[in-house]
Amino acid sequence: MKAFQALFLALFLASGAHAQVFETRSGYAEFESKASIESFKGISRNLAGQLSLADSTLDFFLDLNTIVTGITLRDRQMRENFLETEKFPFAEFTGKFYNAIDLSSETPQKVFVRGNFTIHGVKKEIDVVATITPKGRNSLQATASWPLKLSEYNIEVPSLLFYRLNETLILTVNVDLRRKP
Amino acid sequence: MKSVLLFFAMTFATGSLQAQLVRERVVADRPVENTFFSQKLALLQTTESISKQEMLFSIMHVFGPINTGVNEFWGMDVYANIRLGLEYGLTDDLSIGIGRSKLDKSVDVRTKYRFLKQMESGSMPVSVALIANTAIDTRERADDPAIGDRLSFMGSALVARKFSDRFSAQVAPTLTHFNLVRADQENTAISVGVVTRFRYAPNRAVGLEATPVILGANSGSVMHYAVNYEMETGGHVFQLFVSVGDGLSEQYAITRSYGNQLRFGFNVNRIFRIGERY
Repeated sequence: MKAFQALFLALFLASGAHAQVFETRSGYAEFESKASIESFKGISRNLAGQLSLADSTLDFFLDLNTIVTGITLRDRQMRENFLETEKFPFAEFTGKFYNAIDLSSETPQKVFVRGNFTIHGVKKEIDVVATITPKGRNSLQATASWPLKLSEYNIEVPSLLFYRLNETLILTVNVDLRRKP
Repeated sequence: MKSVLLFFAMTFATGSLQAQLVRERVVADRPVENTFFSQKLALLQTTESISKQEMLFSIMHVFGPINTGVNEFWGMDVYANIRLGLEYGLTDDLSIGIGRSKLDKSVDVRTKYRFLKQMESGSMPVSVALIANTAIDTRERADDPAIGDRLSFMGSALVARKFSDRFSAQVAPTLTHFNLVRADQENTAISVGVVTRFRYAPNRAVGLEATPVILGANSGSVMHYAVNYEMETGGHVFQLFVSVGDGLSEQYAITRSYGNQLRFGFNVNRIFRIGERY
């Protein structure tokens, strides 16, 4: 496996395409649950990923243990009882985008993205419209928002809860990607 | 193997960059969570700590003896003791608290410091916390003892381990001391608190606690124990128990449980966030 990674890295660097790769380790990700009594958010600032202009690909992942909702007991319950982070530690998205990004313009650009989103061990193809804003030659800001239906990912919410969790969560990501040196 | 490598090399060489990042956890080794649902079982403290800037409000309640029968509605007509408590997390591992009980109209202040955490990797097999309290009897008394004579103390080292998702246990050597006691009572006692929890559903558990006194037991007193049922709701922990003894702070429960009578009791524990939410 180590050999693979080394090979991978060597080829990757040799290809010269790395200069077209933008990456982050500290992107912002949140889910929002809206309910009549109590709405709440879970947030993380540990979204990691990269965007490659050379082949129009995206790859992001989030360590779900880094999500906090503001109440420790609720965080613990989220990790243990519905996300089951011990078994499924990551949320992942791998896909392609289908519009060219104009780095010379600092105006927000809508980009159509299609790819596989994985959470709780369930992988599904989703379409997302992302907004990408180039910030100079070396960084990009990207945001996207899409709904996640818990039942589609076999996420069961225990009935005995003193807060309401909406069946459909709104996921939002906001990342500042820097050009890989 | 060679051909697989070649295949990969060719794929990459032709410029296809379906590059997947290596999935890495932000923190590789995490402390074990949820050894117990709450900061205490029926009466006894656990190694669970209150997180920084969170406030625990707890209502503890024991009724009269069940064996008083229908006339006292199995003890429900009598509220033997009630304690209202607030605890606050100064850090994720250090908390302070204050509580007031009906029994002796005592007010107790307490602190808990968890200095070892059981780790998922096994690098630390147990969680260990130190707790201490000081209680003052605030009753108007004919003998009007000096403040020092109204004080009692408790200090304990809690050693807990989550053996599996289902089973956790804790052992706690404990020292209790009353500055002033009746002639037939002891000032100082050493006991061993034992707490177990069996979690039979994600949010439900049953548990047992007991505090056998090793040294300095009061004559005529019995061992405190309780059978506890609890449910966690992501913010609240409700605990229903049957126990021996009407004390709610440790020194009372451990050394002053008289009469081997079972009582119903319950705790409501509610965690609030004080200050910034994220």
